[in-house]
Amino acid sequence: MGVLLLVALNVPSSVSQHTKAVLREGIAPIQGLITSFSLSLEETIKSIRGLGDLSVQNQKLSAEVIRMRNEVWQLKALEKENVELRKQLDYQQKTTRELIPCEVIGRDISGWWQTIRLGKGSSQGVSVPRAVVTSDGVVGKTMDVSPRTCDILLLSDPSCRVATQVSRTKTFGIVRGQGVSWNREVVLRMEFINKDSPIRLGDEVVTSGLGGVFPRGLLLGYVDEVVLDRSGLYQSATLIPTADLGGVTYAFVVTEEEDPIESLLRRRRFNRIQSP
Amino acid sequence: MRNLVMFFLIIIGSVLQAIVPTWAFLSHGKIPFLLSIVLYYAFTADRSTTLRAAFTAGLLQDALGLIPLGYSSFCFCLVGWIVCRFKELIFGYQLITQIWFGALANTVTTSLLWGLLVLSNKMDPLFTWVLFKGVGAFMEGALTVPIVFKITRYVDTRVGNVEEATAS
Repeated sequence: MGVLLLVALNVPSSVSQHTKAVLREGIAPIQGLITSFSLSLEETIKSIRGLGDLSVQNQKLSAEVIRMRNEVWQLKALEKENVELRKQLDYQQKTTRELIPCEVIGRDISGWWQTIRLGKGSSQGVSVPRAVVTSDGVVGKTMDVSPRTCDILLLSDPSCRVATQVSRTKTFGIVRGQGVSWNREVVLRMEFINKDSPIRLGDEVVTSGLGGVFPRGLLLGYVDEVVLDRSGLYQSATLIPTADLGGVTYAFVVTEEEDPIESLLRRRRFNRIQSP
Repeated sequence: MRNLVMFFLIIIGSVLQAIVPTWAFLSHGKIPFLLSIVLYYAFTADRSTTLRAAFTAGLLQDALGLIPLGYSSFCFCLVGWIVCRFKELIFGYQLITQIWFGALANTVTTSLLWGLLVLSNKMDPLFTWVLFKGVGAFMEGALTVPIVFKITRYVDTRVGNVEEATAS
């Protein structure tokens, strides 16, 4: 066993990546199943909670209500999913970038990083490192890819850094995750902002395109607070992210910038479909 | 049969560990289902079974996350080996023993993993953060191990891996 451990700790990265990919691929279907099961269980618990005293008043009536509420909740869940999918589809058709739509199948198992797992990988064109977005804004970047799954490092993780700029003033800065607060709110911090730049509350922050991972112009969040750094050399701002990082169910991996002509044709095609 | 049940439990444990949400007051540490299964085998089985469970559970934990392959296996095997070494001196079936061993084992595993991740430049060496993480791990281990022990024991008894009399 000791020898096995030593081997496991010192395997070459290519072998390690391959082993990881095989194990991950094997467990991905179970992970996906349990995730969807837990979502429907959550909906059922919500519906049962909503009933309260009815069961005491009338057993028969409450059973009927439970059945109907369950139905309504299931419909609501379906409606919610429908709306979400429509929204994401609309975003995919409108955007000029090549996007790979993915479903979230799991979250980080170790607790050391804030990651999610998507149900698409290198065989569908996902590579590392690529930006991951939803219709609301940037979510994170791809970290680890196997043929049919990929791990995404979320913006909320302190090790995730994004080159950004304030839309109004064009001032550059680096956004870094600050984890999740006690009340489950994601906090982002934009650092190294020019101290003379007049940043206002509510200013829109987008990716600057520097660094090569995140294409230019992707919405990240809005300025919530601005402070001068202790050194007095630059400003820092707290941001409210536009994407709901805790509740992502669908996301898109940005593959590459599209050719301008292709983009124009795509927009035309989209407009033609939209017009009656 | 025991190996089959062990493998099944480890798979379920890993999936549960991935989907159960984390809490800020427990430093966003994951509920240690896999470590709890390893501890169960350390308390109830021989050393080779424990190490097999520890190696498999660690391998799966690393494969499903961003931790380099082998790190969790190393930590789980070490903890499993230590518990096996001293299990003759303790009352493994007592709730209080499970609580204390769960708390200590999860804290040790968390600290060891952090050390390995820092050494391999995968994590920043922030001591206050790991202290906070350690406190969370202590509480999570204390709460999870007795529950997982009971469930795993129940499954083992139902499939006939252990006798009813020894199960209580």
